[in-house]
Order: sequence, then C-alpha cells, then structure tokens
Amino acid sequence: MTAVTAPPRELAKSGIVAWLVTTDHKRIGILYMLTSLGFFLIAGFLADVIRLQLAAPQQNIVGPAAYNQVFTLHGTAMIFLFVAPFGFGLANYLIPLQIGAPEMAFPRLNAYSFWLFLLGGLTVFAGVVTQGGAASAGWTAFAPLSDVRVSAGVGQDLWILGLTMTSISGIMTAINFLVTPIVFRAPGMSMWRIPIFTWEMIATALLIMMAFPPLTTAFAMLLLDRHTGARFFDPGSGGDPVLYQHIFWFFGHPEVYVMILPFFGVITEVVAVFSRKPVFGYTGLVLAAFAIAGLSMGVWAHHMFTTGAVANPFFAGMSFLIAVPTGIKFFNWIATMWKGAISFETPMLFAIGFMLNFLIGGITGVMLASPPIDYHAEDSYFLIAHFHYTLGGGSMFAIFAALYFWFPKIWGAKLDERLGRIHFALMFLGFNLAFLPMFFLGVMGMPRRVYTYPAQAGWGLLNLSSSIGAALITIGTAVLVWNVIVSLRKKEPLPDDPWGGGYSLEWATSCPPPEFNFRALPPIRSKRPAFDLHHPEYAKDSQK
Amino acid sequence: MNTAMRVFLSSTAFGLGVSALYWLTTHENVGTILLGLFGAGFAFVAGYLFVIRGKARVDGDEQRAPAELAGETIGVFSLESPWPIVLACCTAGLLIGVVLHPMLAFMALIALFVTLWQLVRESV
Repeated sequence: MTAVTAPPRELAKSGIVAWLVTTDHKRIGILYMLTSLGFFLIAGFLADVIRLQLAAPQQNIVGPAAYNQVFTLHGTAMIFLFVAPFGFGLANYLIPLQIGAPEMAFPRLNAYSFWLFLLGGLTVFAGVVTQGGAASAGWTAFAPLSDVRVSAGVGQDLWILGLTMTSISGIMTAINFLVTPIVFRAPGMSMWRIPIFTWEMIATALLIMMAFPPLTTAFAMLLLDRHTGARFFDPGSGGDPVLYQHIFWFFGHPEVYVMILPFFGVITEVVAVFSRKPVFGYTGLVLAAFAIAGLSMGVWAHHMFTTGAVANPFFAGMSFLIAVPTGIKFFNWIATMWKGAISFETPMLFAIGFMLNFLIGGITGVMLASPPIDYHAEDSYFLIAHFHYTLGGGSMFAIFAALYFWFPKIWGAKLDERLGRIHFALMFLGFNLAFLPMFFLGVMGMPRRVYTYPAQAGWGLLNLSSSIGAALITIGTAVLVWNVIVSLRKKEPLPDDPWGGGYSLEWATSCPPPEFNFRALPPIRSKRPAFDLHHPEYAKDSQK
Repeated sequence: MNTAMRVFLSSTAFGLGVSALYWLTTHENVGTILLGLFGAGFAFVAGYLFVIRGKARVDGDEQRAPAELAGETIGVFSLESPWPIVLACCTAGLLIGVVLHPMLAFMALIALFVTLWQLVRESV
C-alpha cells in the first residue's frame, strides 16, 4: 500500500482520547461491536426481568406500568441497538479488509455515525431517570399508544429522539458501506470476486437508504403530533393511526433484513472455511441477497393484515416469495458443506445452530404470511416465538459465530474452544427451551405484552420452561464473557490465518491488522486470494 | 463500474415491476407511486454511473493489475479527528433541544456550524 499518509495533525496515539478521536475503520468497528454488545447485556437483563415476572401465574415482581417500560426497552435495545449495529460494526471492520482497501471511503463520516449511534442509544435509556419513566409504547411506538395523552412522559420523547439519532447514523454508515466496495477495491478485486459478506452489506446498505428515511419521517410526525398538535395520527381530528403503521412498517420489514442479511454473509464465510470448500453457488448467493432485499421493500403491510386496510393477497404473495431466495441460501450452505472436510469448531457450531433455528423462524414466517393464519396468531406468543427464532436463534447465533470466527483477527487471540462449546450448548439448549414453548402458548391464546396471567389459563408450565431457558441463555452469556477474559489473558502470537482455510483478504494480513490494513497485498486472481496465497498448490483450481 | 451499474439497473427494473404488479392487483395509486419511486431512485444512481462510465477508473476493475498499485489513486486518510464526536454531540443537542429546550437547540446549532467549519478546514 503506498498512498496512505499520516494524520494531518498530531493527536493522541493511545489511551482513551485516541479512541474518542479515531477515524480508523477497525477501531470504529470495534467500538460499534462493543457498544452493541453492551446494549445486548442490558437488553438481556431486561429479558430476564420479563421471564422472572412470567415464570408463574399471578406474580407481581414488576407492576404493569414498569413491565411496559421493560419490554419496550428490551425490544428497542435488541433491535435498534444490538443486532443491526453489531452488523454495522462487523462491516466497518471487515469491508475494507475484504476488498483490499486501506480505509472506508469517508472515515470522518464513519466516526460521526458511531458517536451519533451511541448518543442515540443513551438518549433512549435516559428516559429511565426521568419523571414518569422510560418509553412504554412498545418498540413500534404505534399511535395512539405513543401519543401525548397515553404516553405523556418525557421518556417517550427521548425514545423518539434517540432512535431518530440512530436512524440518521444508520443512513450515514450505509453511504460508507455502499461507496467503499464500489470504488475502493484493490487491483484485481472485481465486483464478482468480493466476498459474500461484503455483497450482503451492499444489499443491506441499499435497504437502509430506502427504509431508514421513512422511519425518521414517522418519528418527526409523532413529535409534531405530541408537541404541536399536528394530529397526523389522531382519528378524532381527521388523522389516521394506520398511516403511522404504514410508514413504520415500510421501515420495519426491510429492517428485519438489515438485521439478517449481514449474518447470512457471516454464515456463508464460516461454513465455507470449516467445510474446507469454496462457497457453492457464489452468483446465486449474491442474486438471492438482492432478491431478498428487493422483495422486502414490498411486503411491509403483511404486518397489517388484521387492520383490514391493506391488499392482503398482494402482500401475502410477496411475503411467500421471499422464501425462494432464502431457500437458495440454505441450499447453497448445505451444498457447500456437502462432501466437505467439515470440522466442528465453535464458529461452525453456531453456524449450524443458526441454520436450525432460522429454519424454524423462516417456516413459521411463511405461515404468518398467510392471512388466515395471521388473523389467529397476530399479537400472540406465536408471533413472539417466530421473530425470536429469526432474530435470536438466527441473527444472535450468527453474531456469536462471527465473534468466535473473527476474534483472532480483531484481538490477536483465539477464544477458548472448550468454553466456546459450553457456551454453544447452553445457548442452543436455553434458546429452544425458552422459545419453542412460546409457539404452543400462542396457539393456546396467550397474548403478547401481558404482565401476568391467571393460573386457570394453563400456561404456567410452558412459561416456566421459557424462564428456565432464559436462565440458561444468561449463564451461557456469562460463559462467553469469562471466555473473552480468559482468552485475552493467555494471548499468543497467531499466524495471518489461524483457522487454516480462510479465503478472503482479511486472512492475508496480520492478527490484528496494521494501520491501513496491509503491509503488502497478495495478487488477487480469484475469489479466494488469501487461500491462493497460503495454498499456492491449489491456486489454479480457484482461478478457474 | 459496469457491475455496480447493473446492480442499480436491475434494482430499478425490480422496483418498477413490483409497482406494476401492485397496481394490477390493487388499483391503488399511493402504493403504486411509492413502489415506483423506489425503482426510480435506483434509476438515478444507475444513470449517474452510466454518465461517468468512461471517466471513472476503479483499481478493482483491473482484473490482472499488480496488487502493489493498491491505494495509489485512493488518496489521503486521516486516522484521527476530534470533530466527528463533537459534531455528533451537536446533532444530539440540537435534536433534544428542539423538543425539550429551545436554548439548548440554539447553542447546539451554533456549535454545529462551527464544527462543520472546522471539519471543512481539516479536510482541505
């Protein structure tokens, strides 16, 4: 690399100030990931409060008002402050490395995006210390629940303002994710050679740029309703609460894919490396990502079947169609593993866990895309189980796969395998114990967002199972934290490619990479430049 | 650049196709226009990439270029700048201030302009 230069002025090189003023994509990526994991721990604690409250009927550990705040903050933190931002962090770290670039296209914009995201998250939680408490209208803040008559406290305002900040931050970061791989690719890294993870981030960036501005608009309208008497969503004054749902879900469904596409990329990378095979159907995987992204822009109203105000057949049909490109991805992952020399290190275990869980989430999603089923399951625990299987069993498992897989690259130390396996076992068992019973609770009629239930409903045993599962997930998370501490203590020098089969360019530089990423780039003549570098005997095969 | 242009063009075609399908299914104008605009937005980017196709040279498009050339045409990068975090604080102050305290918004707005000026100075 030749044309990168020193910073324009001398600032702190180490210590906390260096992190505050950094514009280095790797440090910003780490900041994003650590912050999002911090929010995950808080959201996880809130989930434990929910499960403690629901473990048995007629409990009063938290009252109804506090319970509303707890589930609102839990959902908000998991969706807006953990899953999607972790993907942004990973992409910040990996995109320049995977395409052989020294930096993101707009480093200062990148830093701005992170700090605005952090301030947005803190603003959301600042509501906790205000009179009246935090927001309590759910993570969707539907009108009229979020209007000033029902949610009068400043906590709801802070919630709206905080998420407006994270929305602006997301748009800024998407600009970087889109421009960098299109313009900054190293010589030889044609678009059809960039790794699948980076392709998934391009599709994600397009989705963000289409979907996040409507969210900001919806929030601006909510604030105008709350503070100027605009009455956009007040039916008594000619407004329409269904309008809010339209705008929110025009963001909300693409947001689901903002939370899953990056992790499809993670699973593709992990499965190929631990199957010791090239990715099967590279072009199909890329096209499937764009098909999913495109279709997801036309399915928002499947969240609104029960309003009776949308064209159910159109939105049902479009929602069914998403299963096709998603199925292509599953097929390609299985075909990648087929006859491979599979090894079951922790990242691979989490990748397989992802596939099993996401399959359940996906199939139940197809069920919910059918209006007759949706009319029965809407706002029941069936729905809760479905989206936890996609975002918890799916995205969260992929996040753990990514953590174990790229931890050596980021921190220069491998996470302990034995503790990793214990972590996986606890998470997989705990997750299914927590969320599988919720499908049955939903079918039995348990509605979401209730803070307690009568003993005669017969939901006690299944709820207890869910709560035991949540406890196992908490223990599993503690094992992960312990693993990080232990593994960082016994750090040893690692080769560029500690897994021995890495194929994308990040595995052709040191662990962790130097400033501006590469001391020297290898020739890029195929989709697997790092593999070609480390295994020249097979290079001709991958260049075919 | 041709591949990027094709990505945006196919997204345009997809958006327009979905828009047409929606209209045929529902005969509803608002959603049709919304979905059509989603396709048209991509057409704008595809058009821009088409216009600059001969002028913009991207290293990555050189399939057999030596890797040592990487970065030569990319430019200068700063590893540190104090202004992004200040700008983020100003943005947060402005947004919170507009709703909760006008004086905070006013001060944040002034600070935001000063910060933007400093960012421009630092960048040139």
